Amino acid sequence: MVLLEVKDISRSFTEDSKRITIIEKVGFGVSPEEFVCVIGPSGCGKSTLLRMIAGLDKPTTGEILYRDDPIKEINLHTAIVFQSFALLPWLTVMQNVCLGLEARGISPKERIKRAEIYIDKVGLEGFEEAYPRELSGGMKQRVGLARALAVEPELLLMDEPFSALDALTAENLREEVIDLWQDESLQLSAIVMVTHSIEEAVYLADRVVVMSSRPSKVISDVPIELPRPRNRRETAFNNITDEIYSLIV
Amino acid sequence: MGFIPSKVEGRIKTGLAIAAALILLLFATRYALTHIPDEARKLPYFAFCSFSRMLAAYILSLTFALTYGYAAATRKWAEKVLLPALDILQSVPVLGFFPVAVGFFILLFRGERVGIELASVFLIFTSQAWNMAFGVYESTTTIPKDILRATASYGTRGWLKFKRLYFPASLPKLVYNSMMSWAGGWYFLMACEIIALGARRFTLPGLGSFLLDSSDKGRVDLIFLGLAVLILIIVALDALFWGPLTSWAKKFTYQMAPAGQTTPQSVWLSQIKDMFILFRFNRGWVALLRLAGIVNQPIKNLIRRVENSRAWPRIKRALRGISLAILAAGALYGTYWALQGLMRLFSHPIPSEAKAIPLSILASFLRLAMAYILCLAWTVPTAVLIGENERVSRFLMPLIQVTASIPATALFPLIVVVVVHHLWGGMNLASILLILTGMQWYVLFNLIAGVRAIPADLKEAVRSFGVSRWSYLRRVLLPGIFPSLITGSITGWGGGWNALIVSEYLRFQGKTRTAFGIGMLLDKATYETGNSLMILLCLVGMIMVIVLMNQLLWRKLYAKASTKYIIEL
Ligand SMILES: Nc1ncnc2c1ncn2[C@@H]1O[C@H](COP(=O)(O)OP(=O)(O)O)[C@@H](O)[C@H]1O
Ligand SMILES: [Mg+2]
Repeated sequence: MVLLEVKDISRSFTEDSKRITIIEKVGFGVSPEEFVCVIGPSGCGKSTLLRMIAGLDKPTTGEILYRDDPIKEINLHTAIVFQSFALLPWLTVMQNVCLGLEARGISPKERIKRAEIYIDKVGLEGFEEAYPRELSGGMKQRVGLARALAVEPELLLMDEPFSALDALTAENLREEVIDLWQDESLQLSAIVMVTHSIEEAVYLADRVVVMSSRPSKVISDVPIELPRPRNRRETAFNNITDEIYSLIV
Repeated sequence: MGFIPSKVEGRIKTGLAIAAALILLLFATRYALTHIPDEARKLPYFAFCSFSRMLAAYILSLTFALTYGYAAATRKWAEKVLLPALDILQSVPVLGFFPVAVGFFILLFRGERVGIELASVFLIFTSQAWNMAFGVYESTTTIPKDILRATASYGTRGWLKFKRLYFPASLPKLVYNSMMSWAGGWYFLMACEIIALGARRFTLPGLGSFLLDSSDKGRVDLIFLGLAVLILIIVALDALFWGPLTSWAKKFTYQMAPAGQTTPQSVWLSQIKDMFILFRFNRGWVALLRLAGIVNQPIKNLIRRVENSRAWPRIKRALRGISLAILAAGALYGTYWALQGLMRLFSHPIPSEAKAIPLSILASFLRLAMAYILCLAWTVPTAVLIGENERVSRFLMPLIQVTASIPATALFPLIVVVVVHHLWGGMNLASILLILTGMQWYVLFNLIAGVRAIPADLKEAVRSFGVSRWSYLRRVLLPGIFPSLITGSITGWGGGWNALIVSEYLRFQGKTRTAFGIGMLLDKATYETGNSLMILLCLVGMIMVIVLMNQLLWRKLYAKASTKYIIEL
């Protein structure tokens, strides 16, 4: 059974009256409980791909199936975490996390109760009334994560979520994302994460989908069968990293 | 950062200043009660009338700006129609709306007071609304992409999206432009309280008509009194309303965005504001909002119940149909009315004065250019001085803010007395100076913001190479402020064209003084002959020149400024 099926999609844009194909015949699937990383050179259309999975954009040809149904409008089984955090600066942490719940017409009381759970899950208890500008980068991304989890998605989409953070903060957050993904009490089943770091992909993912430069195709779909928790110093880890590296260069 | 002793000291100083002001006020009131001329006794009533008119027009402008700006920003087809329309509306001087005001509102109510009031509010509205709509449009279109995507991905739509995203995102520019609009409204108040079309003349009680009347009679003492009341209102509004609102609106900026268009705060004003915390203004506002919330909740529940009901899709379609029908009917009636008016206009022969229009536009343009040169000559050095030097800024900014807030139209009679009667230069110089008053503040405030927005790192990096003061100016500062100069110039010239209309034709001591130009022709057609065709021809000529200048000069310079000279952050 597959959760998500990307079936031979292409996406072109018209820019300066020229037709540019960004993505050409890309296909892969995501199973329940799977952590998939997508890597590829910058500008190859990774963010565009995520947007199409979320239903914010449509493929020019081909289709994306979610639980066997083609995605026609906003895909409410997914939630996105952005590299730039994309928090509303005029809303508090609590209000930001509540945004998706509000859109789903959940009552104010229920909203706050649910938001509270996820704010605690990402370790931000006590910061409910803070504004994004008062938080560090790492904390902002935790808000982004809580906001995404609060709508209880089955599939979490992450677009280079750690690229804007310093190395130490990013490392901590990676661990926490793994924990959240493995947390049985959450609805969360699978994760699709875009990154440009091969090491990060190999460290986190069950499978790495490698894309070429524009017009991008799937070059390779590499399963990572290393046991968790993984160790970056092991030779097996380095062998896989090197293998993917050679695919790209 | 706030060492407590200096803060306390500041408070004590401001406290003393306020106490002194109160005592002064007391004496002034006592003096006034015994010495004020009879004509001025109605001033509080006039002030109230003018303020209410301004408020009504502002509420209208706010509603207009939010709907128009939002529609233009979120709908592709609307953008293509609404933006150019706004561009043209913005370049029509207030006087240009006189025939509409008279023809529509006053005739509709057969010359009754209601009609005249509505006409006046409409005219003030035309001096307030356009820049606010642009502000909403700009802030809505410049929301960062990821934030748009995030809100959309959570399924946020309709009213919730407006409330949580579009409206807050518009707030900083909306507040800034509201302040500009109020300034603009005060500036044109004199023109909006006496509505004349030829022999027909409608006067409303208010500060503007009082000032105009006093200058007609040549009563300098009354002019001063009227001005004092006007300035008092403006300063009070600033301290009680716009000040707190501006600092509150700062919450609604994106972190990465440069400070840009915020008017710099002065220490002086902020301390007065500190004192006013005594009165718990913020709490007042919060209480008011709560009250709105109490009323809001049942309405919200009702809306939710209706939205969840099964008939909702049908109701929605019906509602959309009804509003479309109303809109279409309104548009049809408006077109019919305008066409009828136009046909009536063109059934008259083209007036012989119309031949003078091209030459008059040239004359006016030269005056504007002269005013612009004068404007640059003083604003550029001043902005550099203020932007670079904290101490000069602290001393000059409050002074400039207060001066800028005085609507210069109220000063026109005084300028005329001084320049025309006692100085060389006559009406020509007076007119150029008056245009300058409508132009200079836009340029100055934009330039100051520009100088301040140059990153300190950049300044230090260049200085560390030991470059001379001159090449620093030439290589860093002037190119750095070029984009702000262009933005300031665009709004400044807009203000200049508007000021032109009220500066080439002045009445003082029962006599009319003119300087040959398009403004004079327009004024004569409005106030003397009442020839609507002539008014229309003047307007068309003027708007054509303005739109051409915008397209050929400013747009190009703006594009250049925003690609070559923008400092990436
Ligand atoms: N709405 C759009 N209109 C035109 N071009 C677009 C649009 N969205 C994305 N692109 C183009 O698609 C390319 C890929 O974008 P993106 O998906 O952000 O790449 P990546 O995330 O892999 O770096 C970019 O070069 C951009 O120019
Ligand atoms: Mg990207």
